[in-house]
Amino acid sequence: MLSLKAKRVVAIVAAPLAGLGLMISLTGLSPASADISGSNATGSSVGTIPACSWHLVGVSGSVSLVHSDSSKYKGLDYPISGSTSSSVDSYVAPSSASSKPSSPQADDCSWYGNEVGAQITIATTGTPMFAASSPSSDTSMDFTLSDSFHKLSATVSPSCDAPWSTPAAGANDIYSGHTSAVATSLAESSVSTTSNCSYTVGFSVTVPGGMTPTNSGTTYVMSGPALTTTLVTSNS
Amino acid sequence: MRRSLNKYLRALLALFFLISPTFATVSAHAAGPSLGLAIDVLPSNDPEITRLTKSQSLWFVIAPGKSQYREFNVVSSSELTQQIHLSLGFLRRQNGVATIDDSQSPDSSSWATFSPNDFTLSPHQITKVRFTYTIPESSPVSSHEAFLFATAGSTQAASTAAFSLPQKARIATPVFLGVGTAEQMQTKFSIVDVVGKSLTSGHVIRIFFKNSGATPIELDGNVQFDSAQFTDLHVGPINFASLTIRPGEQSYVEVAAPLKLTEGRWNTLVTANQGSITKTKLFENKAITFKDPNAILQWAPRVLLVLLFLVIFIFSIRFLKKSKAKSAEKPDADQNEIPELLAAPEAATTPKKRVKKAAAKKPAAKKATKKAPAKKAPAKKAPAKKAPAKKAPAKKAARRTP
Repeated sequence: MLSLKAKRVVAIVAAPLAGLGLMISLTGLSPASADISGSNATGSSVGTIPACSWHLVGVSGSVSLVHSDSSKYKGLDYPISGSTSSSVDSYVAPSSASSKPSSPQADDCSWYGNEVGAQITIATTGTPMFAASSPSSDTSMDFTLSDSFHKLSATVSPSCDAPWSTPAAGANDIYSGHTSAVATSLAESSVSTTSNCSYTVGFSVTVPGGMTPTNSGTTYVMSGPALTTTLVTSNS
Repeated sequence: MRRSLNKYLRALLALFFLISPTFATVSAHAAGPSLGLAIDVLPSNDPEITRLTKSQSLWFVIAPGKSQYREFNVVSSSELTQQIHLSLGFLRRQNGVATIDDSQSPDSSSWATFSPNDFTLSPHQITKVRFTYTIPESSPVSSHEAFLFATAGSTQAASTAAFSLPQKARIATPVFLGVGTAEQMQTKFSIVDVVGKSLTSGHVIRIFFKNSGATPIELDGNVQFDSAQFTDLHVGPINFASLTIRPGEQSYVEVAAPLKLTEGRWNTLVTANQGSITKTKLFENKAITFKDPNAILQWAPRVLLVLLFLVIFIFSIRFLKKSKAKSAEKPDADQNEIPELLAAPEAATTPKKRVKKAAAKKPAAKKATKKAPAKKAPAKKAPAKKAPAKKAPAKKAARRTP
């Protein structure tokens, strides 16, 4: 057994050590070698909306042109006209949207800081003309759209609010040397996630008088210049 | 009776709600099926592309002898089965704006392939396409622009109408191809200047940029102004987005100047971004004025008037100097005339012989008198100018006296 003196010595040594231990435990200090067990890993998920793209719909595969009454070509000027059967729509929608949203919302898609402007053009290539496909190899009724007096008039009627542009009268007419024009456009700075524009196009042309059909009495099937409606997307 | 009517109305309403979604879809294109499509460019994972531009942009940076591809979806928005053809088109830039030129084909078209290239797209179908550029080994370092064309045509038989116009729908998306290594196709640009302009639409700020790199740039960013005179006066940041600036070109972006931005000295900070590259420039104590671009025209008449008056002034001074010199010569003439004038009354009193002698000398005297009237006129009109002429003999006398 320890003597009284020895006990006092132990007490003298233990007291400051206990005090120190108390201080350490109260102040929260922990030894550097202390093990940390368990983990507090955190996680989150970020939902995103689809990216936006420009879409073009409503371009008819073919536009029929007819005379105002049932009369036929008699060698005199013969005006014919027609229009697109549906409106041509250019609109912003989610990239993978395969049909035009009936009620577009601002949060349907996002440009994610990569807004692009849109420009709609109507163009043809080569020498614009009307050529007969039937009767075959009969060119007696063919005629070219040679100048601004012998042209295919294309009147674009947009139903789009500013800042969509509106074409000037005659801007989209088609004839030699004038085979491409802008129907409407929207600058990149004005693009939103619900931008859209619709327009219709009316066409008219006059079959020139003075031509003599080789196969008179038959119905000629004539095809005009192939028109391409292009939606040009651009950052500028 | 009323109960059965209510039942009938309810049934009618239910039927309406059932068919309304179908009705809404059909009404959008009630006139019949037509062509329709979209292009969805899939983002690039290439860090070099995302560093240079937005990952959705169709950008390629390819070293000679190498190839690279991007993918995109062709999306049908049509009720029709469409024939799709993919190609590259010529891109012409006019003042930074990309336009199509169907009469030419781009120089990079022979390096491009599409898989698939021509295909049939069913209604509302999506087809993924791989667009590959393969650059020949011998190609020099260069940059090329083009349009990616996705052209949709009808698969239906041609119209049998007497007169018809065949139509196609097309989507055009710009493509950039840089031939060279990533080091060779660096994007570099600098913020050159900030100036104010007064246009008919109002005051604007023009920020000038110089593209000194090898790739086109389309900058976005902002400009902010802190007054150099009033510490609490700040304007902006005002956001901007530039048109495409080609390598080597200098261009500007224009933003409307707020009313708070008055003429004076401003510390102007411009921040511009291209892809992940950000540049800033501080124009300290920059004098901002709003000059009318037609100021030269307005000043031109004033300048012309100044020039006109200056010419008149110079000519009149020279004229005055000359006339002064001539008037200085005239006293001699006067001196010659004085004896003649003095001799005249004497001649009246002298005998006829003297008169005849004088008549013999007449031709010489006549010469003098004939020239005299023109020269004399100013001398007579300006008696004040005669004063120095009168002094001349005195001077001559002084000269003679040693």
